[in-house]
Amino acid sequence: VTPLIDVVMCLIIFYLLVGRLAMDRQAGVKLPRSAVGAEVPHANSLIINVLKGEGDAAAGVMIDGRTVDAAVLRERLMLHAGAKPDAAALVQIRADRRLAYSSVSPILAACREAGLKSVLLTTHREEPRP
Amino acid sequence: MNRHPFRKRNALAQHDLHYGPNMTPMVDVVMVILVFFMASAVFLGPEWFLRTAIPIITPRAAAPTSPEKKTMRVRLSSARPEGAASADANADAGAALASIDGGEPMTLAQVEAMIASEVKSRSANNLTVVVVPSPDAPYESVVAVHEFCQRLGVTRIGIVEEEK
Repeated sequence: VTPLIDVVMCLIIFYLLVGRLAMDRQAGVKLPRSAVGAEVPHANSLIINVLKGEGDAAAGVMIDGRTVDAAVLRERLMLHAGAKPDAAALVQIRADRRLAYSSVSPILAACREAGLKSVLLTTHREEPRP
Repeated sequence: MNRHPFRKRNALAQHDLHYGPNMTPMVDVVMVILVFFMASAVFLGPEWFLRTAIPIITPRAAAPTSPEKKTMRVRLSSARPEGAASADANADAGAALASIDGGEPMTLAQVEAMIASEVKSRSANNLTVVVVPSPDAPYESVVAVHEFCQRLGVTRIGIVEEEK
């Protein structure tokens, strides 16, 4: 029985950890593709997912696996930027590539309001075109 | 000839015959960690980032500090006629309409060529690119402008809101 428990324990821990990681990175978001970009070594960043709904409207804004409204979004950004008021406060915007800019502009406005100087646009890494 | 014809053949009995520490549990643990990182790396997919500035004031208000510095305002809008259906899965970022400093409408490829010639005539450090997307502009086109600015070495790039 002991080997079985070992294996099951490993699987449980694996799914717990991957589930926590995947919460921030919603699988439903089709990221815009880019052939260039920067790796950011900072792990401590706020990840904002913008999901696609009907047409090119957004279905919602998700942080930590929960859909948030504008007030909560502003609050989370204030908390995040307040902890590190310098430029090191990183915010990743994972918006779907099929969205129109009007879905993203309220988030940028909230980031401005929170005192952020820059944000990171997350893209899907693609091999450069020949 | 064999002094132990019925000796136990488990790891501990084998261990008695060897010198040095028993490596088996460590190898087990390291193997699990290795498999975990391999699996999660595949699961999460490759991602990277384009940094963009979000200035509060529009840079047009700020006078250019020196003649060699230049700010290019790239205005983006949707190339689709009003009310047209959007769900073209293969529509790429080239479908966006752009204009530089309020000039003629052009494609994103032409914008890239314009920025490339500016980078060639003055250095990339002296160039600031300001993206001004209209609300109906595809988000992908905003990212596309950031992408080729990064490729051309223009690091001073930001998004400002369209003036009402």
